[in-house]
This record gives sequence, C-alpha cells and structure tokens, in this order.
Amino acid sequence: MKNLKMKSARAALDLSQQDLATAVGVSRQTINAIEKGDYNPTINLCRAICKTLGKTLDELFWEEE
Amino acid sequence: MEHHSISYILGMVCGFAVGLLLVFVLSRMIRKVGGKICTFKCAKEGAYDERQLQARGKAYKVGFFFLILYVTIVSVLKDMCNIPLLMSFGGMWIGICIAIFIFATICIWEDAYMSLQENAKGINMMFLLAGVVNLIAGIVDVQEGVSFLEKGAVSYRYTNLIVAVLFLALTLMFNLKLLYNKKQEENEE
Repeated sequence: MKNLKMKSARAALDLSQQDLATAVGVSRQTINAIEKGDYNPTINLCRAICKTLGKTLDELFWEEE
Repeated sequence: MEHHSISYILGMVCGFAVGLLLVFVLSRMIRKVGGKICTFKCAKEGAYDERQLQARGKAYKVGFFFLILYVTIVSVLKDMCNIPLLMSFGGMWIGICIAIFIFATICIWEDAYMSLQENAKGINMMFLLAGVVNLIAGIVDVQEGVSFLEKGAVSYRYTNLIVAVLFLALTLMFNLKLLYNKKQEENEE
C-alpha cells in the first residue's frame, strides 16, 4: 500500500526524495520504495524518517482501518 | 591440463599480485576524475542501507544456488555422459562468471549494487576498464591461435574473454537501469 502520508509530509517541507534519503542515510530508491509501498522499513528507519519530517510514527506509518 | 614448471606457477602468482595492484591503482585513478567506487572500505558497516542489504542477500542466494546447480550439471555431464566440455578451469570460470552476473544483475535491478558512497560514473568506469583490459588480453590469446577446446574442455586461455563479456554485459545492464531510474525520477518528482 502506498504511503501517501509520508509523501505529503515530505512535500510539505519541500524536500525531494534525495534530500530525505541523504538526511536519514539511505538511498533515494529506498525512500521511493517506502512511498510506493514496495518496501517495509525497520523501526529504526521509521524513527529516523519521523524525526526528519517532524512527525510521529502514528502520523506517518499507522494504517487506519 | 598439462603440468607446468615452478617458474610458470610463480609467474601466474605474480600475475595475480600485479592484477590486485592494478585494481588498487585504477581505483585511485577513477577517484581522481570524479568517480566514486569502493574497494576495501565498503566492507565497513553503513556502506549499504537496510533495503539494499536485504536485496543483496537475496541476490547472493540466487547466485549461490545457480553455482551449485552449474557444478552439479558439469559433474553429471563429465562422469555420467562422458562430456568434459566444462570440466576445466575455463569451464568453471564460465559458471563463476554467470553466477556473478546473476548476483550483479539482481543487485542492479534492485538498486542495491551501488553503495551509498559510490557514484554511477565510478562504477561505469570500473566496469568498462575491467571489460576492455580483459578483452584486449582475450583477443591477444585468440590471435595467438589458442584453440577454444583443450582435450575436449574449454581452455583456461579463454578466461579473459569470458570475464570481458561479463563486464561488458554488466556495463550495458547498469546503464539501462540508470536510464530507467532517470525516467522514473522525472515522473516521481
């Protein structure tokens, strides 16, 4: 499932996928795969993304029923 | 394979040593012109991200099982069908090259070949250099009139040519993926 919350949070900060990738220490393709729902990140990477985007885990990664 | 003298074997060992030295010198040259490649430093933690490590693990697995299958087929061909075609240094190198090709191809398509410290320019230069150097060595062997088969098996003198084909195919694959990524990136942003 696509992670549109993360994509919009990134866009709100005017960050490109590459900017976010550099900030959290992964490749651009990894950020792209997370946003497209092709890769399920570990909790450590989720936390790093949340810190960079200024959001909580729930706000970015919790799927509502 | 015929028996070789000590000096011949020492020559081979020196050749390998010079090859390693060449890799070291070439990697420094590539870095000087703006290419970034990893030689030994990439063994350190953090060279690849978690998704890349996972993809590389899967690629290793596929390459490894291919090699097991290849060796089994070569052994069966030799011992049960009396076909020694691939039961030689050259034949084994074909298997190793195909296994590496499978590993590298999966890594390239999963965006897990290039580590976080490398750039496409460096990888392209490394592949091209390795391909061209081996191609030249291979062509020299072919021009000397070395036959492809030696006692019914692939001659080890064709190893350079096999490695050259591997690297040139990888160069093509790597650039195709770069083009695909560029298009994808344009659509995403």
